[in-house]
Amino acid sequence: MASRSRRAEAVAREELPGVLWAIQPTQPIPVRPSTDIDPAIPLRARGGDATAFAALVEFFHARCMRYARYMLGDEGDAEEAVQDTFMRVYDHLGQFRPDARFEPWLFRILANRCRTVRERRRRRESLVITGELPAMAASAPDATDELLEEVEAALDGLPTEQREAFLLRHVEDLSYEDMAVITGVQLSALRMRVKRACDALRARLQGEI
Amino acid sequence: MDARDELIERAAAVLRRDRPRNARVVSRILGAVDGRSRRWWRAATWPSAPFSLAATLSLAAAGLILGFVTRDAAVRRDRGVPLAAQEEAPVRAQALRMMPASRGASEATTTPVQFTLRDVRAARVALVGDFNGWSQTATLLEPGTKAGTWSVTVPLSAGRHVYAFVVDGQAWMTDPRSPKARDLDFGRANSVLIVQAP
Repeated sequence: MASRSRRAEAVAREELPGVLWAIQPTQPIPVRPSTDIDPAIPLRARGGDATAFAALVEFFHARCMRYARYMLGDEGDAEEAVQDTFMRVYDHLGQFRPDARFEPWLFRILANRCRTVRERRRRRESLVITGELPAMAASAPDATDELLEEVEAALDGLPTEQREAFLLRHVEDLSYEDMAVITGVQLSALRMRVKRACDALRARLQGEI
Repeated sequence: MDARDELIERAAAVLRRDRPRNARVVSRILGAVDGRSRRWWRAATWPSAPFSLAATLSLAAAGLILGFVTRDAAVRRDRGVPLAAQEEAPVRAQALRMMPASRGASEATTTPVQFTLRDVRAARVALVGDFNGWSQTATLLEPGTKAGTWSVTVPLSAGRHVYAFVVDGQAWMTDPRSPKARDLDFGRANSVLIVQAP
């Protein structure tokens, strides 16, 4: 066997790095963990396990509230939509297929409930005009809240379909395939909605955040 | 693939900020569920894998010969046949026609409706619908004298009913000869039956 090269000896003396090159990312690539729940839990809830159903609520309710609040712009309406969603989940878990993923199934129900609540509110507002600000705008602002308000205002300016697509894709991190299950809209149309939403948000937020 | 530029990422990150656990919402949901009666889904089963092409085709073939049959309860009642007897000897096929409900005082709210299915491969067929809480054990079809025929007669109230057949505890089948009711939330169709008011 040949004796060690001069470089190998230098590495051994720690004068040279052991690896000559490596990809050095300029920024760390954000890797978010999977947003879905352990698939065994919905199946246990489906079998009548009350603890498993409680675990589903604990796991998803904050995300559901976040989505509903951005879609509806009101905390009270969001709570109504989320509670209604979990009631329907409870009543119809038997229709959830064991080979399906729970997250898009849940968000499909939630998206429909949000549309229902929004439509109900639209009818209500056509009858009663109130001068109250929505609850989400009433809290005392700090720097982070101001940033959030800026983004929320931009989001609020989007058409409902674009807002829905943007939230599902960029905030809830769902795939376009899952979004198609949730919305019943084709992939190409969803991509276009997301693109248009991003274009509109970019135009609105440029220089603001 | 999305062009995830920095501005959009920052906006999304602001919106994605972790929201704390909302104890009030959790409590409201679990409290509302706690008082709810248990539903049919406790006993429900689904196949663990998507249907194969062969299974799908066989289901489609079975669906083509699937039908529900009703009979005219009013006519039979006029002939003096009691309801129990009607259920024991249901009249066969007048597909896709809703019968008028009886005019009898005590039975005025229900109409016996016969559901039939022909599926030579089936070992067990259940009728599920909003009238039996979607239970797969409440209403089983009986095998007929001819191989592969199944039937059951159910007294139904006037109005709209949604139903389906479950073959061998796995295959959920709609009736291709009746209108379908599609639930937007769950994406699965069932069949619709309208029983006319007396």
